[in-house]
Amino acid sequence: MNAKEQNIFKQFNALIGSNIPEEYKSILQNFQQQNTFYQQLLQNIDSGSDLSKFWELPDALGFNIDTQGQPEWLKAIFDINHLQPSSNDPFSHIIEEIPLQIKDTVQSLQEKMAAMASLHNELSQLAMHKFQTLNDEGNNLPNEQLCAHWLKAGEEAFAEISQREDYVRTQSEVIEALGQIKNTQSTFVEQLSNTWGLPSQQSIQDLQKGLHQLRIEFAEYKEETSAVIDELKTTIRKLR
Amino acid sequence: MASSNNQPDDIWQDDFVLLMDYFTDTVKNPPPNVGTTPKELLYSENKLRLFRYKALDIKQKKTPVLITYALVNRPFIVDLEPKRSLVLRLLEQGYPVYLIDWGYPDSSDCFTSINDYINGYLYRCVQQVKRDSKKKKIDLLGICQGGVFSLCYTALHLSDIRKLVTLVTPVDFHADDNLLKNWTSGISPNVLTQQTGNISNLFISQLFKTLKPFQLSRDKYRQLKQLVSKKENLETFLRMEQWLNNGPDLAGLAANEFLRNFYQCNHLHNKTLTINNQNVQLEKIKSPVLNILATRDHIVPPDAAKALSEHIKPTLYHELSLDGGHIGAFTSLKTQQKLITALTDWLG
Repeated sequence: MNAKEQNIFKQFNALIGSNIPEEYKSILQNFQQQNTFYQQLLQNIDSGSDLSKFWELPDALGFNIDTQGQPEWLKAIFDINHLQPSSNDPFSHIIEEIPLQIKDTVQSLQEKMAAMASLHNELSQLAMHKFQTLNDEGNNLPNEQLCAHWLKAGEEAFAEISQREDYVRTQSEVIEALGQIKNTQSTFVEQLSNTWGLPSQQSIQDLQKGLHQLRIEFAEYKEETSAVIDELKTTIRKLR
Repeated sequence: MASSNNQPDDIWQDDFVLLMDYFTDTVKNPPPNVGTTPKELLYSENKLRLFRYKALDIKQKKTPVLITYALVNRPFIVDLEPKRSLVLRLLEQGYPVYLIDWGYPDSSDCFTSINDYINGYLYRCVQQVKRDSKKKKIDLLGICQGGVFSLCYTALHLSDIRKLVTLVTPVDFHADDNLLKNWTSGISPNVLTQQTGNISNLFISQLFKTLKPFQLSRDKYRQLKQLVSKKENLETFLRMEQWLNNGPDLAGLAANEFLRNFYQCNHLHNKTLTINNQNVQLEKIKSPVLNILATRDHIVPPDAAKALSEHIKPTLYHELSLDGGHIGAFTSLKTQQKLITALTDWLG
């Protein structure tokens, strides 16, 4: 790292650790991460290395469980608590710690994830092939053109594969498998709640429904009253 | 054989330093405001807010326009910044403008249904606008899912609406090239709801990014030079980021119903949709309809929107195509003039 790069790195870290708005920090991190990505892409193009990893879809979407854990958008629905993935078998420690019924659903998920990974690999290979075809049309292409070709190859490959019946089916199966884990967890937690005398999920839902119904009824009552008052005002104006 | 050209690093580094310098001075460069066109609160109910925009000092048109946006994302996209504000453009033409802000649902809203949104919230907002403007009929402008709600509303409450505008609104959810429909076809709706009973905005946001994963997750952050070259470019970018990253959760029941009835079963286009035991027949609509679609819309493919022509009487139906994407259709400076001219000519 030269002096300029060190200064930039220092300024970047200082800003990330400062009290500037979180949205600014997120934007800076995104630009920095993507610049690293594109630099690596261009370096690999120069060196003639395998480029397929640059179209890895989970990586693009922020879901690299080896380095980053569950992304926030996935945790928002399927919070597999205390998940600490290993590099080979992300869900293995869960199997040791939780009841048998969840083990089965996790194993099912692993199978579906493996199928998904295979499709993502196919996407990467297809994108790389498309990229090479695009680049074969010219020599010494500028970086801007190479990056544009990277994007075109990736999006075209994605458009082809993501609409295929096997991709759609496998994606649905992954989501259903995650849903089954969630349901099994919920059942387990519900049993524990019963044991400890905590409100059940049903009683919470009853409250939610009741509150919702009250709000609707009140709003309808207010609207009827407003309409009547408005009509009365109109009548009074006409009478004057 | 492809090879890269050198010296990209220096240029990017200089641009990145400019960006960091901009962010460092948060006194001089606070996060830019959105939705700044002056408005006042007319009505509120639970999380919903109905706003009336302050009229400009010009002659006012007679019929007010009520803008109904989707439940996904915040409605201030129609008033992103003064240069890109559909609201301000309408005000400049003398239209009284109202906007529904659906708010941020929480766990107590998880049993809010499509019927609640259309025959409840939207109905009461329409009545409020009618009373406030002293008009028996108003004009409704629905955007995307807001357009779907507006179509259903107009079909169920024929006497309330003078004219209807649908903007980037899907009608045939099974039209070709609808990736969202393909992906949601095999999913049980309940699987996506959280502990709160709602669907997280983080998931919805990610779902939309996944429609163009490489463009929206990586390529977006490559255009640094264009952003730092002009402060207003960066401010527009920051406003869009604010809009993209601050979406509401979706009320669980309504989201499940929408997924099932529209994306999976395509009931609206198939004329089999019922809301509160009433059949929703778009053919019953007696108001003139202006249907505006975007030719490069990857969220609502053009054919999905054009399908509305199969339901509305030809004498009532008008169509306009804009060259742009789903959001660009009404935020892009390139299409703005064409959009507002068409609206002004048609609304009268």
